[in-house]
Amino acid sequence: MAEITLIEGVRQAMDEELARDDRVFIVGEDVGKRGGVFRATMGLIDKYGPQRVIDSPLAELSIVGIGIGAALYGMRPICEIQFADFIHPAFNQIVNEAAKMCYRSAGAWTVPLVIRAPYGGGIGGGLYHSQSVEAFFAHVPGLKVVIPSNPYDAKGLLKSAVRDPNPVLFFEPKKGYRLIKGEVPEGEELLVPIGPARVSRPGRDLSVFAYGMMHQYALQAAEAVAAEGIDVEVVDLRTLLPVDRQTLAASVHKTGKAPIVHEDNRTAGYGAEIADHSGRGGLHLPRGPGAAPDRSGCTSAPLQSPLAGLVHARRREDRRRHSRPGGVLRAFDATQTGPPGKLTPKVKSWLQASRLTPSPLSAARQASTWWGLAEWG
Amino acid sequence: MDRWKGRDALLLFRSYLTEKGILSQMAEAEMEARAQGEIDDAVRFAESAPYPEIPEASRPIYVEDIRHG
Repeated sequence: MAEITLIEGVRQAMDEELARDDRVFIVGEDVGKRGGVFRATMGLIDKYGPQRVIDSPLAELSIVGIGIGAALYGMRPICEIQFADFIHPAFNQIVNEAAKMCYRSAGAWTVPLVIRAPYGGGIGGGLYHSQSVEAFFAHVPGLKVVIPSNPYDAKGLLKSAVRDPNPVLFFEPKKGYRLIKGEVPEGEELLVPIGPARVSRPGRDLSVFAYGMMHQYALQAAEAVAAEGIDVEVVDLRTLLPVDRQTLAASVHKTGKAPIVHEDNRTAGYGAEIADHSGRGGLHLPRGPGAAPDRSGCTSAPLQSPLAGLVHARRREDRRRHSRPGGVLRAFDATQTGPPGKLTPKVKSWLQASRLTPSPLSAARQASTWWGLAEWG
Repeated sequence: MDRWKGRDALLLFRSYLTEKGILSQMAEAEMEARAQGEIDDAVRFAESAPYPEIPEASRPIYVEDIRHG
């Protein structure tokens, strides 16, 4: 076993796949001689040559378009988009071409393509180096959307993505590139299947669904409240499309309540899909005698900058409903604005508030805490 | 619009080839007939082909959905 960073997991995955399969190649800006602006492709051009690690012009549409064309004719491209913020020029290629090729040709033409990009904030990137774009693509049938939260998954999922015959979008939490370290076995093939979520911390009192950098923070928060007797279950989604509804349902079934944590915009963000599905599909369960099931009417709290998950209740109903025990689904903003530890107190107080009591007064206080958090950002 | 029509690259290239004696009228006519024939054949084939039997539900979205045989 070796302890490596998340970015090293990415690099090793590409190194191994390039070695294993001649059809694999990398194309992107600065991936060759520079070794990538985050050093994701460090040393690969020396090992495999410029025919397989290709420096592209500054033209994302072409990077993806070339990848699609090559994939159609049997290659296994890994297209790097330097920052997820720059994926938008390639949106048409991804959504109209790559995603639909299998369907529109009834399986005659397929696109075994990986598009990988660093996403997310927390490094002072501003408007155009911090975006989360997963929601745009999780909306499109034919694509797969994968987001690792640790080096083991980064390596294993990227290798699986290269071998997957469908177009896979692989978003890497850039803040965690060097910040997140983990054990990865050496000398053996490491493959993590695309699809299944992972319960990273089993618990009883509530479930926290997260992915990417936010999964790390969720784990930290869970540890922080454990000392006060709150047992948090943390689930790392890993694959956003196709989503592992079974694992999420089992988790909510067990705990009765499930916030979703991500750093994207709240309105119509990925958390909204999970929260809505959970409410609509009846995943929310009442806890305790006499509790009415949640009707998932939802109001979106005003969009704050930075971005937030969808809050899934009406204020009034909250106060009324929590005069008796019941669960509720939340998705909320968890954008990092400072060092990792800063998130924890806010999430901690939220988690404490989530332990519902039958008292109306404390319920009202709890409701306002929820809303306070919804407005926090 | 007319100015740009006059600068159509395909037409310019054709007159260049003709002037240089690379392209003869006969060769050009033969190429055009061949291309038109291909197109006509393709249209005939498409128009006389039956509608596909693939029911909507079995159209694959992911490669793993492709049902063989």
